[in-house]
Amino acid sequence: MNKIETSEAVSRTGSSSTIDLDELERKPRLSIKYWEKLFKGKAEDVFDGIHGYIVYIRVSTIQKRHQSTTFEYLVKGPNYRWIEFEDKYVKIGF
Amino acid sequence: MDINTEFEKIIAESETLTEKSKYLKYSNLLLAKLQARDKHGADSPEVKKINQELRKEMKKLGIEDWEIVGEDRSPKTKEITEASEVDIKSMDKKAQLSIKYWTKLFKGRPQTAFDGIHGLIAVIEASSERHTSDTIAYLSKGGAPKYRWIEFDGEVISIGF
Repeated sequence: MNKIETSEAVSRTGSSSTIDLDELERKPRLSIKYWEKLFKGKAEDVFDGIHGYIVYIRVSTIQKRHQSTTFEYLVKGPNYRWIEFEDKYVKIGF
Repeated sequence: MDINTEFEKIIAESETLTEKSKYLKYSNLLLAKLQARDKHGADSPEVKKINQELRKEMKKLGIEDWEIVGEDRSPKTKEITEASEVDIKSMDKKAQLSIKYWTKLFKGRPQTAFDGIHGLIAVIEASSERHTSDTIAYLSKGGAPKYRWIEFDGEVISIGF
């Protein structure tokens, strides 16, 4: 499902590459910045899809464990639709 | 049976008895720990006191942690150090209700649970790797059970509480 949604997102932009972070509007850019800080990572790829944006945040180390406070800040922070946790990436659809 | 055979039998029996009685205090402590945990909860001072006694006895007998519940040295046990596997049904009501809540929330099923030095760990197999914002919001809602951390490993979710 993840791969399908990502491929849909890429095809919408009309190219095989992802969109540049600087091309984004201020609001999604600020959201990404918030999540980068929260998960202590860096946004590597951003997709603009039919359902919205998807950001891949690469975390500094293999980060599987997240404290309850992280989720509290996630809830308090910018709106998002879904989140996926992988070894090196936190993927957020918003 | 002649006197020599009978004597040898008595000697053999007494040796077995000594070997068994060596572990008597240890098994009594294990039993007391289980009863105290059911009655007062896993974090109660009663259980902590028994744990101290248990560790002393284990040291005396040369038993390592993982031998308490007869666990093998599988990767899972090694990964979550200083925690022993427990049956979810044997856990106290509050812990069971917490696991039930998270199982329902992640639309999964409980796999196993561990009782560690810092608290309990529940392992749940979720239905998906993707979690909606609502699911995450319900984790932190007022009435939701308190937890310390969550680990996501594909569809397997471990919760420390």
